[in-house]
Amino acid sequence: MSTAAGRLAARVAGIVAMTGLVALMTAGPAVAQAGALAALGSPPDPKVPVSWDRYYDHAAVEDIGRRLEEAYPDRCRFGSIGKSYEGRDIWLLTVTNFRVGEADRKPAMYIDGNIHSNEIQGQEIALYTAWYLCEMADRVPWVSDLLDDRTMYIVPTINPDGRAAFIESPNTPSSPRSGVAPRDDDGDGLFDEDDLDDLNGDGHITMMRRRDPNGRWLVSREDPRLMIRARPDEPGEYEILGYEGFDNDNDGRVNEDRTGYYDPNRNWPWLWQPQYVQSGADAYPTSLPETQAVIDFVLSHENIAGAQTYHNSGGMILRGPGQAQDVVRPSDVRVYDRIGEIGETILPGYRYMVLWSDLYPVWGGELDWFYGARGILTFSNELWTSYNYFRIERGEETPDRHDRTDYRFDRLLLFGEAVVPWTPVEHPTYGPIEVGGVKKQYTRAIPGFMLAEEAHRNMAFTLFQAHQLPLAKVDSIAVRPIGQGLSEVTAIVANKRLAPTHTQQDQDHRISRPDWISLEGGDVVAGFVVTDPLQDLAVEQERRPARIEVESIPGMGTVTVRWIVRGSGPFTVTVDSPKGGVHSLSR
Amino acid sequence: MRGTQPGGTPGRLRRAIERRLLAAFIPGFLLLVPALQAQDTYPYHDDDALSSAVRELESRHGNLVQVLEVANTPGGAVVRAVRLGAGEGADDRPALLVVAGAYGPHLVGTEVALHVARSLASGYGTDSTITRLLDRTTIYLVLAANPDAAAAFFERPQRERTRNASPYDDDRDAEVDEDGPEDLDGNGLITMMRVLDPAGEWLADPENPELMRKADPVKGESGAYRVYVEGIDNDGDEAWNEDPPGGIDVNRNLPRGYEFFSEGAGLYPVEAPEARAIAQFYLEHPNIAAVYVLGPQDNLLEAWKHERERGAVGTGEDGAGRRRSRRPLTSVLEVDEPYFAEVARRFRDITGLESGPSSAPSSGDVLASAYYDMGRWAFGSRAWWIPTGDDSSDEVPEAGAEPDAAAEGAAEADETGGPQRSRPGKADKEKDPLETERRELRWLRENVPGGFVEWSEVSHPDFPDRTVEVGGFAPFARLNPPASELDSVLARQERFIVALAGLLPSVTLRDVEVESLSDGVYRIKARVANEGFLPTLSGLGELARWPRRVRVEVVTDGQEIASGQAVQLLGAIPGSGQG
Repeated sequence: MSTAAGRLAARVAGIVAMTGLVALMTAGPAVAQAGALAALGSPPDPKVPVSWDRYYDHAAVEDIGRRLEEAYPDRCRFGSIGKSYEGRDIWLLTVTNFRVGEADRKPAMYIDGNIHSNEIQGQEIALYTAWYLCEMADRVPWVSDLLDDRTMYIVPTINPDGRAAFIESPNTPSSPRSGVAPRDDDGDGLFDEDDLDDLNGDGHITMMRRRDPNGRWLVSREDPRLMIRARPDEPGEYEILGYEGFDNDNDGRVNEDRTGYYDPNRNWPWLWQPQYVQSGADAYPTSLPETQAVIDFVLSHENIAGAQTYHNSGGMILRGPGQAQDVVRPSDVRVYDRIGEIGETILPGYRYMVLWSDLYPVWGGELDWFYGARGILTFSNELWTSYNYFRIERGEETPDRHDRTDYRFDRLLLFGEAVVPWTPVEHPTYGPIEVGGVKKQYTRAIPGFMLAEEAHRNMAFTLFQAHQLPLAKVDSIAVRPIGQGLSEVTAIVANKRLAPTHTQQDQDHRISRPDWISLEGGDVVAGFVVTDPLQDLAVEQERRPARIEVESIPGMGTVTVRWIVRGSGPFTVTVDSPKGGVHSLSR
Repeated sequence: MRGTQPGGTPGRLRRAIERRLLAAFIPGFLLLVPALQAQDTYPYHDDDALSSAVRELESRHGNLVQVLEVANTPGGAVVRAVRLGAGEGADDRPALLVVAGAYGPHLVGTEVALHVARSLASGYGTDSTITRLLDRTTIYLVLAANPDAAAAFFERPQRERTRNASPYDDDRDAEVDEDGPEDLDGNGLITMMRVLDPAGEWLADPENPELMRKADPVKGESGAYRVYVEGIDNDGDEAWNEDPPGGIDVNRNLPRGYEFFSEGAGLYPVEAPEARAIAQFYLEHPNIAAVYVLGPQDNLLEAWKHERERGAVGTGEDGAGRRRSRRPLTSVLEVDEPYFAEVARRFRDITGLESGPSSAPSSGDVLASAYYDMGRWAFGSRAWWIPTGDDSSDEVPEAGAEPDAAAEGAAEADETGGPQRSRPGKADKEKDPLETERRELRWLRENVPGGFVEWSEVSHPDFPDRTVEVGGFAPFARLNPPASELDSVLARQERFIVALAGLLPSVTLRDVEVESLSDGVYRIKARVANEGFLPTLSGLGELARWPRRVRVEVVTDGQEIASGQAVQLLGAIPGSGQG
């Protein structure tokens, strides 16, 4: 993109950020700049200009979605999967080639983000994916083929209320993680009555410190904004009093009944456990309207074969299970491993990990419901990693307790914008204190100039997964007359991709129906699955022989079926797989 | 379609034609046959009668009774809760929640709940015990938590159905509810069907040939029958009645012990609107201290016990400073065990019931959920069962005594084979596997005409060349008392429910002392006591998040609090006046 076009796009989006919908509606399509050489990987003349260096609010997502739908009516449909607790739409962008096949019958990838309110960039990664696919399908044949074969269900945020709360209110990088439906965290009958408080009114919730000769904290020699813990034998000069706030409900505790609190990613029905086992579980599984909306959507879209749910942070490509006693079936592990391995290449600094053993155990997490209850291959990427600051691998940095990578990055690349310096303020209980520390857009969210790359790489990983979802095709049909007006019709049905049409989990629990391979063009006398084509061994299916049922078509594998048919053709063979798609061939 | 039955393919076309003919005949001919379970044997309330009964209560006792509509079922019925509590503030008083009918075929529970509602409503203002109780305590009664399933009792043909009316593809063939049972002998009841077949796994018991049991090849026995639920194979998949109308069993759809992929459980816990309404009811009524569940799960004949498990409860704290358990609980907490035992003792005392069938297994049921998910004191009883007699007071009835129809390719042994069965007892080779059924058979023959349907031969389109007979226990007969027993059941249950409501915690302030320390400085002391029997929170209630703690607040009138907290939250306060 030329600098001028970039500036134009940035300016357009800048206006949007300030004044919302109206500005976007009036902004015309950007014109490709003469005299510019197109950079690879980006549309040189996007019909829907979007700047990928900021975090969009609810109205802006709607606007981008509607403009994509308008610009690419055969490629993008904009809608909603339901309403949030506060009544916001949970936006859905369905991206596929709507002129080829039936969108809801193509093998599909479901993508969401931002289930935790503060983990906002999942939305931008998801939205970037929709935008990129729409804008690039005419330029890149691989993308065009993908949209012919696949449907992408993209829900940029499944937590629009929490997102709004994060964007609009003073917050830390970690608050709120919960959605906003009020809960009585401290059991006193009052709801959300002791939240964080922006003591100095600067729009940020940072830390509180108080000078105290007996404190256990020191000021860094390298960066006066950074507090470091004193060594066990070292005198300190400050005490740290937690995040900004006071005891609003007068119960002797500070900030103990905040916005929410529940963890939307502990509210899913698979291996759900109550609050006393799993913090954040909420009262019962699916108690949150957002959980329910996603479940309803997935249950009504059996073609969803793969899923990605974006979180932050830590540079992880996570798969289940979330608990030691749960299992991912061995043949499914092989599929996960292959995709995860490629993912580590696509995403430098990211590691492919198993949730319970490599990170922490989780009861009632979203990705476990997708795989456990529905047999859907699901990853959860923890976006952004400290590797990205200086592209130094974990553990290879020079340790310096007086400096910290994020503070150094802020000084050298953001010129101090990311951290609020210590500022005096009068606290109602603690007296004169100071507040300061990192802004909410830092350490978990991504600095603007790096966001597009993070989006593109994560999209590329997820598109690789989408590409490797099952794809059932009738490969060949052989017809052999066998006398008395009968023909033997043999069809080979192939799955051209890595993932099977039914994961092992799906097969074991009979989650989706079998694949159907049917014959038209004659009266079927008998039908068979050929179990060993070389030795010509076959098993007859007596019931409904014209529609052979197979439990799964393995990844990069085939199934051979045979019919004895009255007639000589032409014959049409159709494979109809819930997750592998529908395809016909005639002969 | 689980485990298809090998069967002959010839005659498929003829069978298909016969099937169509049969289907055409059945509706007309059912109307002519009166059901055996006549209204005077089982004088139970259908949904219309329930609805008008509670409306009448509400209009007659407006100051005491309120009817809450808590869910709309897939079948178009309404789940109602009756609230009994005097005047304003009923939702702020300690409350008992009574849940009946989550297990649909358990109609007696609904009768108990309705009876208690009526009796207490008319006793308020005239009976001093009831008046005092309802001035201090609120009772919510969910009369029928699964009305879609209960409706099957009043339909013809009559069959035990455990599920609500949501459509469901049980056999995953992409068709919904396409293979339900049919009343082949035209008696208005769906019972069992046995097909004479040397390849079958079942035999007629030599002693009671009307009872079927699995042949034991180890003992040299060979089968003579295949056993299914009464009906035809409507979808021609060689599985009989494997996808009947109906979706979710409310009593298997709550979180605790929920079993994915099991029959009647639905696709996920709390999926059924009826189950969701129950879960939601706790949230909206934090005043519920205890729950009484009428259904196949019991913890009053045999109280729940604590089982020691290493590391079950850790000392970690969550954000709000509460203790957490490191892993799912496998039994009740040690501190709660004595209360479960004592309430069970009182139940036996009050009702005179000493022995009965052991609890049905727990799997997403309302009773376990009330304690483990919602942190409430929870008690459950079947209310009635076919008398076990003194000689078998310690016997644990065998599971698997029912024809295992599912294994034969016909689903829902639970539904038509009888009440949810007891959990297996200790393995005992000498034990008679049909002991429970023999007793039930004997009792029904003596007490309920038609309670056991004698086997009679029918012609069956799917088995043109075989002898097919229909018969077995009449639906509902083993789970619900006939009219002759009903009154005593209702009276017993009312005594217990009133007693249980009287055990709820009840906090009071005692010994408020104000001591002057110096000019204008006072020390204030107060004791908070619980005059009820049950602690203000169970041990699990303290761990769990939703039950509230006792909140004590010092309200000042311009004075300053020099030391101490204006608001304090208290954990469990033991009962019997301790503070």
